[in-house]
Amino acid sequence: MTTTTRRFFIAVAAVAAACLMVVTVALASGHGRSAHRQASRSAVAHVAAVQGLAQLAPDVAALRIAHSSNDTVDAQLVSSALLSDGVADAGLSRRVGFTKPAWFLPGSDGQSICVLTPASLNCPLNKDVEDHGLAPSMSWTAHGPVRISGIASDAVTRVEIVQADGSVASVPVTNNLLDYSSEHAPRAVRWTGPDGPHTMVLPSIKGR
Amino acid sequence: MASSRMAGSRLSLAAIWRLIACAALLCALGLTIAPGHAAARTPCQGNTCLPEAGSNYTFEAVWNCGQIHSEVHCYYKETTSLGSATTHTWGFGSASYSGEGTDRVTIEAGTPEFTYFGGTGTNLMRACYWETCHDQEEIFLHEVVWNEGFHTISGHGEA
Repeated sequence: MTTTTRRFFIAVAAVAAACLMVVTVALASGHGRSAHRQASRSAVAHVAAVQGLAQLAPDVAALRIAHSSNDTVDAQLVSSALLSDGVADAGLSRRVGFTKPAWFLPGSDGQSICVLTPASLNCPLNKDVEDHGLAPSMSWTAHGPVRISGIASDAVTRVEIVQADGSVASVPVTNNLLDYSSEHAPRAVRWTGPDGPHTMVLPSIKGR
Repeated sequence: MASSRMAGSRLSLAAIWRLIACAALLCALGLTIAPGHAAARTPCQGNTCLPEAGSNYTFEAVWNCGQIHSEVHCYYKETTSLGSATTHTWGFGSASYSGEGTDRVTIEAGTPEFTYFGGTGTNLMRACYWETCHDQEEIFLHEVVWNEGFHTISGHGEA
């Protein structure tokens, strides 16, 4: 090997090594910055969620009980599309439905409270729950029943469900959770909140 | 031999160090810019915010139909006409209202004859086809606003 060839290879190797070093440093700092940004966003969202929870807790007994390991949301649900974008703080969850799983989670915006079931998530504003006493939602999956669920304030202990055939079911609120299932879509939810009586007319569901 | 000696003198040690310095500088420049582009990318677009495990989703879309009146359906992709709507293997859908106050929204997925999954509630409603939120079959997806007045509701689906 001539001196020129040897120097050429040394030059190439040195350039490659320098590049590799710069790449490593740059990627490491890029990852660091990205992770730092994400951690900052998460920390801000967590603080907001804690504040939102504190705002609603005086009206909702289930939120006044401290979070424990029994309240943990299933890992599969946390990573599912319902929660994976961090819309709600799973670390502050309260499990309120046991036979049929359901949780309350404060929203990461600090203004809403989410009701989570294995196939649905609804996040009304805290103010709705405070003012009206209940924020009902209706959800259904391809092979399950139609489920009416919602977070109720301590002021609402019983709710009326107007069923598909027009009959009325009186449903108790347990752990501040309204939870009612039916094969057919009910017509309406009625309750009396701190600001008076309410009726939420439900949309019909094709095929149910 | 003469040309080899000439080349050797052209590629002196000083030249090699200059070459290394320039290459390192170029690499550093390129990689300083690259993370900036990555950071500027809008979150939750494409596959970046799909569920991490078990969903089998390969497609994600976000849409709205501008301001729509109560009970108007806004189908993927951005049409209020079922005839112009596009089906997909939706396994997850979301309807959200981010304006002032509260609004009732609905997300529904199905065919013209049957609604497979959906939900209706205040401000943000998300629902899945399966209780596992896994991927499934070919259906339409649309969101609806229920309050009087005109409102913009964001639809979000994964398939």
